[in-house]
Order: sequence, then C-alpha cells, then structure tokens
Amino acid sequence: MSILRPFTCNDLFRFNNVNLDPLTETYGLSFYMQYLAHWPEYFQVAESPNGEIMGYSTSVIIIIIIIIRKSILYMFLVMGKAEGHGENWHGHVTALTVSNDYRRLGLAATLMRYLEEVSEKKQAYFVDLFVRVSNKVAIKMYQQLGYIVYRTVLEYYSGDPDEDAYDMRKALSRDVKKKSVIPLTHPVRPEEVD
Amino acid sequence: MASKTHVDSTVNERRLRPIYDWLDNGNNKKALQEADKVLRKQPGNQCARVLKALALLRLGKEDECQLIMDKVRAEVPCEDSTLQAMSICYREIHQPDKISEVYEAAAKIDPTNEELLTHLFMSYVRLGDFKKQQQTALALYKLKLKNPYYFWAVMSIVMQALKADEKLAKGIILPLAERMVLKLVNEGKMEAEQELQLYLMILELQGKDEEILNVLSGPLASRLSAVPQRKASLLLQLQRYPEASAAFKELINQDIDNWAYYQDYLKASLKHQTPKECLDFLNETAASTQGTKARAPHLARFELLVQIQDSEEAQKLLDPVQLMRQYFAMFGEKSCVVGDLKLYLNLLTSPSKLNLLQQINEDVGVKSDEYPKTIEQMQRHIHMKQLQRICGLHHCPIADRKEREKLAERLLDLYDEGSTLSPFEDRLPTDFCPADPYALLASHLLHQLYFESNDASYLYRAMELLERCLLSSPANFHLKILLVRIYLEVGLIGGADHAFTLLDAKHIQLDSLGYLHTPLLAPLGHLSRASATLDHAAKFFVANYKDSADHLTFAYKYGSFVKIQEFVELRERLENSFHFAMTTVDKMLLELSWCDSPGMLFNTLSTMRIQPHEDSIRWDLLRDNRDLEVIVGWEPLSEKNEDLRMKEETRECMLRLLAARSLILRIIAACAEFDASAPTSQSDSTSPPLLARLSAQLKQLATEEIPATLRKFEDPEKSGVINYKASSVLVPMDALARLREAYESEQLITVVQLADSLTQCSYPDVKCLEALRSSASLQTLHLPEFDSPVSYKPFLLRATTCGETLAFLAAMCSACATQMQPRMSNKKNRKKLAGKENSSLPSLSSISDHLQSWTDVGTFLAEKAKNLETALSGLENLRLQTGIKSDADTKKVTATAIVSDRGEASIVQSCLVLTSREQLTLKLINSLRS
Repeated sequence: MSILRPFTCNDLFRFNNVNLDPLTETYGLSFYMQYLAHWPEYFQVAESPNGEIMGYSTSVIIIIIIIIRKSILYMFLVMGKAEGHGENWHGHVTALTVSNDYRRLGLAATLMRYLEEVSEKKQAYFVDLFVRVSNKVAIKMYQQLGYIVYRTVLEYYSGDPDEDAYDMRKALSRDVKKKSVIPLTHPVRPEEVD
Repeated sequence: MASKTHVDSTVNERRLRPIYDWLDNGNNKKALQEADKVLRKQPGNQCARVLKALALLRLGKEDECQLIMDKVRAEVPCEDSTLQAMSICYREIHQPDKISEVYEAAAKIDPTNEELLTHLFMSYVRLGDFKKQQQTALALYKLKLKNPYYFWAVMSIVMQALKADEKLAKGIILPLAERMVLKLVNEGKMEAEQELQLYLMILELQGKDEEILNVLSGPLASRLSAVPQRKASLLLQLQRYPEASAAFKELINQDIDNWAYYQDYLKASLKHQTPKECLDFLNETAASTQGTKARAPHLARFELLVQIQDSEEAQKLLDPVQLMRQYFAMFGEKSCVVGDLKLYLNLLTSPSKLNLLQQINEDVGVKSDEYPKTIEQMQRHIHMKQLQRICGLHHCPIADRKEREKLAERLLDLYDEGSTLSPFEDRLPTDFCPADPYALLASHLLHQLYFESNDASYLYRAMELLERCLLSSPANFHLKILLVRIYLEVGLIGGADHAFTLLDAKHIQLDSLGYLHTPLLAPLGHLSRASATLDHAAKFFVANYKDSADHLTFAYKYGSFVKIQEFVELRERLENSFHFAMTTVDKMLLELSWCDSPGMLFNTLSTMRIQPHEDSIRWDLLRDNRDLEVIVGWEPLSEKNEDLRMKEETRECMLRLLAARSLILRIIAACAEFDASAPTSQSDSTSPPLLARLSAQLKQLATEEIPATLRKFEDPEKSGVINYKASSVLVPMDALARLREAYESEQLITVVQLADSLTQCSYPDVKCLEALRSSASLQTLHLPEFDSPVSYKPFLLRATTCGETLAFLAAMCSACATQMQPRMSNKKNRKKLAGKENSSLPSLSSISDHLQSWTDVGTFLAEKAKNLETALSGLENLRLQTGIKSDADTKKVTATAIVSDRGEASIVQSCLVLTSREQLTLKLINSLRS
C-alpha cells in the first residue's frame, strides 16, 4: 500500500533510506534532472502513509525510476520521420528499487503495472528491463509479472568480475503477433544493444 | 554560393575536430597546440580562437582566455559552432550574461535565424530573465508558427507571475497568460499534454477550480492522464462532497490499495454520511481483499477513528485496541507494521497502549526467557519490541536505568540467538541480517545509558556490537549510520569517517547526509581528511550550480512546464544550502590555519578573494537540506508533537556557528587590508574602521546571541549542562558541539580582544596580552584517563580549538605586522606615506613599542604552541581501553579488535596532524619575533 505520485526535486533530499542500499546507485543530479525534464510522468515515487501524514518519519520513500532509454527517446522525438522502425518503440525500466523496509508487499508489481500502463498509452510495442543474472529474487518476480528472458547481455555490469545481464521483455497489446518476445538463441555484447 | 559555404564549413570542421577531441579527452595542452596549428594557417578563425581560449581557461590561464574572448566578441560572431564554443567558455568562467550578449549581437545581424534565437532564448533561461525570455519566444513564434515557441512565451509569463506580488500576478499577469492559451484552445491548436498541463497550472494559480473542472470534463481531457484522480480531488476542493466521495469510491474499487484515495474518501464522505456508513464501505472493501497484501482498507479504519475521535460514536463503532491487534496479526512480520501503527497509537490512552502490547506479546508467543524459533516469529517479535520503545517502555517513568540495563542485555542475547536463525552463508551479501534490529535497539539503549551514567564503556560496547553486526550484515546502512554517531560521541573521528565511507554517499547525498560527519572532521583533529572532504563537497555544489542552468533549458526544450518552477527551486535550494555555506567557510579557515609564513598567508588570502567589507552570505535564503529522517530511532511518541530530532534548534546552532566563523574569516582578511585597522580618516570619524565593526559584531554574537541559543539546550535546573532531550538525540549534534566549544573555550572573545587591540593601537597592547594569557582557548584540557574507557571528544575538541586559535591569532598579528613593516623600515616609502596619511603614521617613539609588543606576543604564542605540542604527545603511546571483557566468541574478539585498532589509529592521526599544524603556526609566530 502506498501513495503513488510523481517524483519531485525535493525527493532528491529524502530518498536516502532507499538509495543507501548497496544495490541502488545514486547518480549525478543531471541524470535525474534529464529524466524529470523529458518524462516527468515516468518518474514516480511511492510514499507510505507515515511520510504523508506526519511530514517526518523514518523510512518513508520507496522510489521507482521508470525511464525510457535515450536512444529510444530520440526515435520518439523524430517519430514522424522514422515510422519504419516503429516496432522497436518501447518502454524501458531503468531503475526500480524498493526500500528494505517495504519489501514483499507487492509494491514492485504495482510500480511495474504503472509503467506498463504509461507505455500502453504511449503505444509502445513492449517493455524491457535489464537485471543482473545473479539477482534471482528479481528475475523470479519479473517472470511472475509476465516477463521472459529475451537475451543475455555479456558483461553488462562492470565490477570485479563483470556480470552478465538478462534483457527481460513483456509484449504490450500493440504487438499483436508477440514478435518482440521471441527469445534470441545467442548472447550479445553490450555494444550490440541499442 | 551556398555550396561554397558548405564546403568551407566541412573543411573548417575537419580542421577543428582534433581540437574538440583533445578538449573532450581533457588534454588541454594538446588542444592548445592543435588550436595554434590551425591559427598559424588561419589567424582569423574565430572558432579556433575561442577553442584556444577554452583550452587556456582549463589550463588555469583565465586572463589570457578573457583577452581572446573579448576580441572575438568585438567581431560579433554569427557562426553557430563559434557561438556554442563561446557559450561553453563563458559558462565555465561563470559569466552567463555574456552568452546572452553574444547571441543578442548575432541575432541583430541575422534576425531571421531560428537557431540563433533559440540559443538566445536558452541563454535568458540560464539567467532567469523571464521578460526577455518572453520577448524572444514571441519573436521565434512570429518567425515560425510552432506551438513550443508560443508556450515558451506563456511559461515565461507564468514565471514572471510567480516572482511578482500576488495582486499583480492575479490581476494582470496570469489573466494575460490565460488569454494567450485560450486563443490557441479556441483555434483548436492545442497539441501536447504538457500544453494542457500548463493551461491547468495557470487556472490553478488563479484558484479557478470550476474552470479546471470544465476542462477536465471537456473534449481536451482525452489528451490528459490521471483525469479521474484530478477530478475527484477537485470535487473535494469545491466541497461537492457526495460527488467527491462517489468519485473516490470508484477510484478505490479500481485500485484497492492506494492510500491517497482512502484519505480523501474519508474527508469527503464524513461530510455527508455517518461514520457507520463509511465503516461499512471500508469493511466491505477489506473483506474483498482477504488473503492479499492490501493494507490500505484496514488502515483506513484507523484513519476513520482519528477523524471522528471526539464524537461519542467513535467509542461504540470500533475498539482500536482490538483493531490494532488484528492489524498486527495480519501484517506483523512486515517492517511497515511499526510505521503504520505508530501513526495511530495516539488514539489509545497509556493504559490501553500497554494493554495492546500485552496482547500482541501473547500473540507473538515468545516468553521473556525464550527466543524466537523461526525468522517469521523473530520479525514479529522485533516489531513488537520497536512498538514497545515507541510506547515509552524503554524510558522513564516506565523503565528506570536498571531496567534499561536489563533490556539492553536481553536485546543483546536476542541478537546473538536470532542471528543464528539466518546465518551469513544463507543470505545474499546485499540482504540485511533479520536480527539486526535487535542490535540497533540495544545500541540506542546503550547510548541512553551513557548519557545517564557518563560511563563511556556503554559506548564501546555499542561500537563493538555494531561492528560485529556489520561483519555479517555488510549492506545494512542503519548500522553504519549509528556507528558514525557513536564513534563521534567518543571522539574517534577516524572510526566515524570509516563508517561514513561505507555508506558510499555521493552527489546530492553530500548535501543531505554530509552533516553526519563532515562538520566534525576538523574539530576532532583529522584536518587533512577534512580538507579533502570539504573540497569534494564544495566541488559538487559549484559544479551543480553550473549544470542546473542546463537542466532548466532541458525542461523548456521538452516542454515539461510543470517541472520548471521545481527546477528553479532546486537550484536555489542547493545554491543556498547551509552545508555549502559552512563548507566554504570551514574550508577557507582550515587553509588559513596552515600558513607558515606571512608570504603564504597573503597568497592564500588573495586566492580566496574574501571581501571583508561585504557579507557574502545571504542569511535569509539559507536552506537546511539535512535528511534527519534517515536515522531510525523508534523514539517515544511525544504528545505535544514536538520534534525529537530538534531540527529547528540545531538549525539555529548552525546559523550562529556560520555567523561566528564567517566573521573570523572576515576579521583575518581585514587585518591583511592596508588601512582596515587604521581609522578610515581622522576628519571622518563617523564610520568606525572595518576591523572594529567586525569585531563588534563578533562580540555581540559571542556574548548575546550564542549564549541565548545554547540556553535552549540546557537543563533548566543545572546551567551549563545539556538537557536530557538534547543529549539523547540520535542525530549527530555537530553544530551544537562546535558552538558550545567555541563559546566555552572563549575562542571568539579571544579573537575579539586581539582585533580590538589592533584597531586601537595597531599592535597588541599590554591589556590584550593579559587577556590572551587567561583565555581558555589557548590551554588544553587534562589528558583523558588511560586506564578506563573514556570519551576523547572534549580533549580533542579543545586541542583543535587551541591549535586553531593560535593559528588565527598568529595570522592576524602577522598580517598586521607585515603591514606596518614597510611603513616603519623603508624611509622612502615612509615619506611617501607620510604625505598621504600623516596622521595614521606612528611616531618614532611608538615604533620601538611596536617592535617590542610583536616580540612579546610572538614569545607568548610560541610558548602556548609548545604547550599544545607537549599535551598532544601525551596521547602518543595510548592503548585504548574499551572495557569489553575478553570472550571466547571469535566474532566478538574480532569486533573488539576492530574498535581498538580504529580508535587508536584515529587518535594517533588526530595528534599527528594537530602537531604538524602547530609546527606550521610556530613558524609563522617566529616570523613575528624576528
């Protein structure tokens, strides 16, 4: 249970209880600002009741950042000219993170549903996301939400050692023939990913 | 012709490409060489010249850069790549107004160039010049009838309204914006959702709710998202309650777990329905969600009780104790249960709170000498323990100190047992250990016990415990934050710094979390680390200031009008951040305290460009960006709704500390100014000399405002003793600690005394020396005990104050003495000066007084510096006493060793760095004597 509302700049000062988790990266301001400027409706916060009513309390924000990737964005901006490539038009989940205190409450599913709705409205063909192959919990959750492993991206996450990513996808209603979710049989390199 | 220019531009681009590449790679030297190569062939190439200027700027040659830029600007360049390069250069040199100037000039020559005008518009956005934005946007629209240009103009008008007073905004500016939008609406030319949102925003700013409702019900609504939600909220605002409650019911039925809908539903329906009717709906909804994780309908029943709290019906309708017990039974193993119930615990009287906890205790089923058997049971047990703390079961009057000790022991055992339920090997390294909250609770109790007993062994136990937890739960940031807090309390800043580093705070977190340890790095002796950390934070703020103008331009570019005001606010919030202001002042004072010669002192001062005449801090705009809620605490509920984290009170401390330290900075800078210490002029004695003015301000601060602020934290019965509330606050009380130190050590008054003496007779007189002799800020405290666990905080704070004060006094003296030297020793100079300001020149007899007094003060300061060195050397071979008994448990042994090692290293480092600063100061002092 939560309040889903658009992310605001002031949330940047209070999202620490989510962002201090080692799996959640804190990016430079420009990252958040660019996406807030491009797609404010894709950038949502779920807030728990105590954050809203008390005005101050512990562990209030659970954040989701749902963003369309840059390259795709470009396609959208010039869509009038580039209709031929339309079937690649999709929503991309850049980050989804739930505060440790608010896990196992179905929140991620709510947030994913929201993203899918927005993407439907924007007439996207599918939604995709990348996840570490070791993140079993997340992979299982996405599968339950109807996502399939479309392909493996080799050494996508830098680190020691680098880690592979699964590119997971779910087709939306516009992709009637479900062409976007036929899995690739071979893995790809990060530079081959658009 | 056209094709020729095309060829020219591609040739040009090919030649310039390598310069861009080198600049992008950060190799500015190569970029400069490459630019020179191009310029040898085409000396007039504007773009190459600008790129050369940019390379020079990045190589630190600002003056040369400026020279080239001025020349190119005078030629009025119109070519796009040149202008863009100029924009980058002006942005980096912090002259955004020049960007507008060059585009203005170019647009005058080429007034139909859409691209130029767009850049001109964006340059005004960077400056926040809304009027000119509006004009440029309209010029663009005239040129090309594109909607975005039109709405840029409308948004620029709205921004003017937001900055104007309300009468003007509502009477003239907003109606104008509305008419402009209506024109396009009536012509059927509205295109994007953002345009509609801007329209709604304009209506909202004017309070035209009915009109908004009309838009939402009209044909335009199909372009908008979240229409039903907006409509429902609007109906509530318009007090059309039956419609509003029906609308929210509908929304709830579609999205059964959205808490916002329930709150608004209750607000609306209680206005026209009985509580019973509302309850029926909530019960129905709750029943339909059986077996799901939906909490909202259940929680809504508590909300209903709050809303009707005072009515008699409330009693009959629902029994909150039973309801809460049920709620705990349903959601007891989820961490959110604590926060949810905490919101409504004030519905209960104190006895019924205890009653509820009793019942929950029975349901959880762990007896007081037993341990949870499953993880699920443990989670319930933990949440119950947290609720107990919230209900005051860990505090007076329910629990006394003895009881607290017992509770802490029990929690420690619970942690030990509980952590075996979920061993490290079974978890992902990024998962928290589920038993950690026991340790957090125990640490809070130990922290409390320390303040009650002043026995630091409680703190060492807490540190050992938290370090041990961290070994098997390295992802748990709550442990790290609490470690920072407790290491600070015992003065082991190195340990705090290490724990803070583990948090990996960066970017905006440097502002919102920096307060956790940064302000105390230098005061506890880690000066080099402080310098690096302050530098890092300052860089974030400066870079952001540059970038945030770009963010605004994005918002216009993508038409996100709803975000523009927000972006402007964020920019202001960061620009005026308290932490930024404090960081800047602390950083400069730290650098000044490192000077070992008058030459270095003057150099340092000149690179800082301090303007002692003007106060550069915009006090009324300062923003407190600390995230105090990141620390979990389960503090007892307060009935008066007081803020247990004392945000406002600590903010006031920050304000006073900043005021005091920025005055010290200005006083040192004023000492180095030629005539700041001398009266402005004999005939015009109306305005006192600058130094006297600054000193008077600092004196007032030190004797009036600061004591008044500190009194708010004191025990009303025991003056000078910090009250219980303030001492048990979980948030690091850095500003309070520093302000008290500045006050109790008389550091500020000492600076005032020297400044006054320098104003009155241009040298430290006998009276001043007398005062310095008795100043507490120049003596160290007694060494802490060696054979028992103690807090090193008071000793280290004072040792740092002592070293810092010596450095400040030495800097002031040596700045003034250096000023006097040329006047006294150089005869030629003296004649010249004598002609100019004969009255301020000391007579020959006073010159020997001067020389003597500088020697005296030098000897005195040198002696104090030596004393400090001796005191610091007393800690060199310290073996840290933790008071923790040796144990068979290897983890405990490891954790204890970690605490000892970190602690000893921290103290050694503090002493080492403080000693080396003292030696630098000593050199500066010695130059006074010669």
